[in-house]
Amino acid sequence: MIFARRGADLPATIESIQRQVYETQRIIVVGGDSDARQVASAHDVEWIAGLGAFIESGTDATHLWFVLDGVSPRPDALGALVRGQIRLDASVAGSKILDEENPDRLLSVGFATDVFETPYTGFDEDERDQGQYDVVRDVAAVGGQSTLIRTDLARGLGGPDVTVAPFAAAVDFCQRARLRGARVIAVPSSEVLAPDDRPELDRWRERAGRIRAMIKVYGPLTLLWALPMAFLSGFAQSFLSLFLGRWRFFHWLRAWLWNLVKLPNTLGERRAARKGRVVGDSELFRYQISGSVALKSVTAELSDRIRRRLPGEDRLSIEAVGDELRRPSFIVGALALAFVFLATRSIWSGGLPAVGFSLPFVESGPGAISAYAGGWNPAGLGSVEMLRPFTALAGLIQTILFDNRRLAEYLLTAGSWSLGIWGVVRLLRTWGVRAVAGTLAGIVYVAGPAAQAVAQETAVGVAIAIGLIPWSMRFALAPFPTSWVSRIGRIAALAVIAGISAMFAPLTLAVPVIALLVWALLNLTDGTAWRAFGVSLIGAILAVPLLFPWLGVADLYRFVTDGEAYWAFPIVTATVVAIAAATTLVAAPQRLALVAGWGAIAAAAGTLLARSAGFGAGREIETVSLAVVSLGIGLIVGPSFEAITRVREVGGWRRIVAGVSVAAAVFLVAASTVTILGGRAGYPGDEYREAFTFSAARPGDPTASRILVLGAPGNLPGDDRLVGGAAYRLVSAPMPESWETYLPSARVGDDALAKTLETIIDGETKRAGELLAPFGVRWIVILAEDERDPFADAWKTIFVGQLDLVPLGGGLDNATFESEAENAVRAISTEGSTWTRAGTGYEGTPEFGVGLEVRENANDRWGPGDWQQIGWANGTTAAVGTVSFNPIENRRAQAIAAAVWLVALSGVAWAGRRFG
Amino acid sequence: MRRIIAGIIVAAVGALALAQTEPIDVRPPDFGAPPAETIGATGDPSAWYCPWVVSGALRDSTFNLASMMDVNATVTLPNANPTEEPGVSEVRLRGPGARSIDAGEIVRRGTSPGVVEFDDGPAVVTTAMWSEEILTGDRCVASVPKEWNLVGGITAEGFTLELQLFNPFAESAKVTVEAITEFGRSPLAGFESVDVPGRSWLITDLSRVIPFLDMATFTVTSESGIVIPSLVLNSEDDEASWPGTGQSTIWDFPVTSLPGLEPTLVISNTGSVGATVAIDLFTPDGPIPDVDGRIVAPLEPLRIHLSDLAEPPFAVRVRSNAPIGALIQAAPAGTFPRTDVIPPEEEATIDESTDEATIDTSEGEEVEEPVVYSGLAAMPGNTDPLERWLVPGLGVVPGAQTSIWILNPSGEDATVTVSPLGVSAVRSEKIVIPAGHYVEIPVPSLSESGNSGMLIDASLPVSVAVSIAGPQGVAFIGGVGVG
Repeated sequence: MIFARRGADLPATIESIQRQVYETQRIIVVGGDSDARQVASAHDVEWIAGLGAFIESGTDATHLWFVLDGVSPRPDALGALVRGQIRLDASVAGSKILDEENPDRLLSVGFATDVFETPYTGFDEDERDQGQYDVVRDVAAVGGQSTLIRTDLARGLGGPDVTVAPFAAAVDFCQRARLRGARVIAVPSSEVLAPDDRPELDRWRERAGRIRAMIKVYGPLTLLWALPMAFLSGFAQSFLSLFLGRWRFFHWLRAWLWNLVKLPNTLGERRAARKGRVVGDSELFRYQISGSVALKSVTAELSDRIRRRLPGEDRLSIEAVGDELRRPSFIVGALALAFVFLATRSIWSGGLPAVGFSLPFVESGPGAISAYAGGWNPAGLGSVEMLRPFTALAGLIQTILFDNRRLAEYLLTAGSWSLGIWGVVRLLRTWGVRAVAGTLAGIVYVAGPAAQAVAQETAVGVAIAIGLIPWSMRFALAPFPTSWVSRIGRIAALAVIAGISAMFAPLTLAVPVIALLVWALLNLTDGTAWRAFGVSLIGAILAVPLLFPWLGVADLYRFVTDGEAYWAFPIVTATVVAIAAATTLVAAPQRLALVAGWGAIAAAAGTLLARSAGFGAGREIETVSLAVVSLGIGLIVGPSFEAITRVREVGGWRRIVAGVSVAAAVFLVAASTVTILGGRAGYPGDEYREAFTFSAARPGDPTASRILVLGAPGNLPGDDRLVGGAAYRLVSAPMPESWETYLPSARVGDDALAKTLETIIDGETKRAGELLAPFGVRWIVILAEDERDPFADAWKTIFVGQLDLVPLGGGLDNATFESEAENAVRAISTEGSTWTRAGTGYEGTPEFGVGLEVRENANDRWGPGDWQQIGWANGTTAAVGTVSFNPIENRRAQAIAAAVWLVALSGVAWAGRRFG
Repeated sequence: MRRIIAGIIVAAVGALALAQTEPIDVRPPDFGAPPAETIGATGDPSAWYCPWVVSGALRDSTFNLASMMDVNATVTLPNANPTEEPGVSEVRLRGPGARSIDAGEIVRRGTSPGVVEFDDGPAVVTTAMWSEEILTGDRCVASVPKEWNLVGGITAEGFTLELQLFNPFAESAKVTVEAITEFGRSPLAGFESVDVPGRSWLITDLSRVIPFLDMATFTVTSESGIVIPSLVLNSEDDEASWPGTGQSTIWDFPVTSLPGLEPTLVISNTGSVGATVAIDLFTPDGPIPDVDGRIVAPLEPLRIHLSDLAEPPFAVRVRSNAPIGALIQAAPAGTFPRTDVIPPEEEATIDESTDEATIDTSEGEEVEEPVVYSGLAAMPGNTDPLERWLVPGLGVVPGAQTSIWILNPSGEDATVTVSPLGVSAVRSEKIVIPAGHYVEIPVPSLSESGNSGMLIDASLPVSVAVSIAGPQGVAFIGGVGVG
């Protein structure tokens, strides 16, 4: 039975079988496409589509010899197998597998496995066949390249599992056979030549097959611990593989997702496999080794690499370091990853700091997605105004990560840094900048002065999008594929990256396009530069639909003008950047100098935009411009380091100038590493957690009320509103979340709140708590920048003299008051029962025939039941126990369409890479 | 070439970036300054703090409310024990109207400073307090400055002086109390940073802290939180109490004395330079401008025996070129020590005129024996003459005679409409007050008239005060204008 599964050299396999000394009764090609059928016909052998029907139909043969296409058995391979099997009364016998390209090299002589079904041969990487394993023996499994199986066993087991990859199928079959008491042996005298398929072991299909095999054969108790261990072990292996330059996370993830989809089928197969078993798991463990083979393999390879990277005793260390600087290096990559880990460690332990515009991600990822897709905007007193796409994307990622928001915050931050560094390395490779210089440039890009300014501005979306910008540019600049399928896939991939970046920070969509336009203008006659610009432009245009429904309804003018764009750059750092740019421009070889010049233009233009408050530019423009500045600095630093290594091209006075350039670049790298000190990826320290979470310790459910936050303009969480020149805003207790960052336009409730605050400020009441209670305000927190903050003092003056506000001490850093007024809650039934916040809606005790006042800005989509407007708020029924905002269908449809578009683009990108 | 172009572009754009200027710093908020002292009631909801109210076995007190509009008023008497609920009474007042609420009906537990909140305005509050032996009353305060002045303290033999610090708010207050005496600034040991717990009060016997002083002015400054201070002065005959005030360049005293009492004016300058002060008297015969003028040195409080300037009764206006504090205190002659030096000639003149007056009196035919009062009264003046005044608390003290005193300090005659406020529909009266004159309008008791308040509308800005006098004692209460 020749399995035509891989599109390999089928004719050669048929011919080698036809040359067997021990003649076969029939030769049958199983599966494959029409080509396989034609080959079979040409060689006068049978062809069948699948094995199942053939086995079931009955055959007079006592044994079946399964051979994979592309395998070349030696003439006596079958005879040896038959003799060995009969002699030992085995049910399954496998051949010795030798590398077809180097027949002296051993690939396998049967193998053991670990508990996760990963094959283990025990061979060294290039172990030669010197007969050292030439003994017939029992094994856990044999490779599927050449296997002799008793026909009755094959019939009982239903043949190999054709849904999984070859290695996994072989292990699976042998395990199932052993479960029935069958004996599996390796017969070294039977030799076949085969391609080395072992690298495939790490791919998702093999991983998925192994998981499926585990589920099929192991007992429940074994599965209870083995499956979680397999999951974690796979994750660890994928992580460690990063240090080997292999990206295996998607393989790991995809394997599990595949099994999730296939689970019903797998459970059916499991029933069939375990029915009639004669041994238990202990028999399966007999030929297994302890631990994880895959994990051991990766760690062994890592150790080997580290050992090889260490300078030898026979060479000067300086020389070794010099060598390292001149070639892509594992050590620098590892150091970069260590840098990312250290610089983001606080986010791992505590999540993103709650300060400025950085607020914790939404507690429920699916809730965030729902709120974005036509749901309620819970900021302030609520609104139908769209949330930003960031909310949806962060929610989606959080949902994928088991709805663990801290994990999502960390992975997005650390992942963005890692991607950013890696992306700059790849981007600079376009112009021949090697890995070390690229990595250092990447560090400056993600953690340099401009990137730190982005973090200091707490522009979380831009900070994350920074990791994707170099990839957008790299995809546009990389050599264009020759096939149209690949080209379309490339553009789709670019659109996916640009779109995701834009969802984090919409203005970043324009950054690669404009940057590449400038590059094209600098290289006016270079067609590839213009093509890169064109590809980038098309990708950006294709990414635009991903921003819907936000793009369709957002007030874009307000979006770009909110706040004031003014970056007070550090003079010393700016001078160093200028020196690095000027010296690189002068000293570097032409191509590198142009890259540095391009970076300098980006840095200068970004700085101009980041300081363009005078032209009406707002905060969004400032932060995205800072990302451009950071990109520019990275494009200066990379060529600067690279130039010094070009000994032949940069000599004489140029070398001295290049030295100055490198000194400046080193300064910038050093300035970037200060982010390690805080460990918060450059973000400022947390300010709001302590300021707000006291409310969780107060009697009652804090989620039933709001906190009125007061202070100086720009010193409150996210957006603020002004009254009497001072700032205020409402946030949810006990802690506001990221979807509350940006306040929507003022609506009727917000106007009422403003008037109430004016009344309080004018001293027309001494019971501010009573006036604020209808807005759900139970606490008032006055945030002060320092002890002499005039805004905080002004607010304190107003609220200290209120009769129904109790100051809270207890070591709180900020002046904090608690209202004594009754019913200072966000939602209350007419019977006086308090409802608590649940996502963007509310929940409470169902009360039939009782009304509920929902103190959000009035909107007739609040329900269930008949809606009525109560002042600025909503009136509905308390009968159901929950109230929520009925989503706006049009927006939801647009959001779904955008998601479909993202999936479609991703599919096209994958197809282009796979089939192009 | 391209390097040069790139360099030029960078230089140009960089220079443009450098040229951008930082946005103007955000201006500080246009609120949050300590509120200026205002005596007038406004047309808004308001809260009035009444620091000195005692209602117990011996004393009775009333909160006297008057309003131009229909208002709901809540009287809250905090409990110094934080575990116990405050005493609260809610009343509805039809406007314009007046009503007196017996503090003892809310809670009778001795000292009970209170807060009266109105949900609309203009509305005002005063208090009256009496026993068989004392009679006193205060205008409550609606504004709470950070620094208070308390003029007219005296701890000489025969007097006891108490400082009452009332904190009606939830936040604990920390205040500093300083004294300015005839010996200059006197530090008060233990008063550098006094904690006044929220919704509580603190009473300090200053007679023990700084005894034997003829003249003491106190400043109460809040470091954090807010307090409402008042001074309570007891003599052998009576008790007088008055709230803290701010400072002003004009002080009007429509009433300064009653028969049997000698008025004294206490002036204190807490500024850094001397204040030139002029005193105008408004006698039944007409105004006597600048009857006295002197420079009041900083940190040297001054008591002027006004009967040395003219024969009482009269109203007084005090003018100054710098903000000062001023207070009228009245008591039987000889009660207050003399600290001001009178030139011998003036003394002779006064003696002469006194003799003449004595002769004139003795020469008359049968003269009805005037009612002579004995007691102690004190009152801070009014800083702003206004055209409308609300006067609550009239006739509420049993057995005492209440009068309204209206001063027209202007140069023109003022037509004043006096409208009683209460349950009986008594018609309004119009009277004309000649320029530079004052009038006394006796008010029948509450039990007789059913009215406990008065609304006063004048064609020109006037100044109003109330006197309550009876066998228990005497009280002067400053009026509350409607701003």
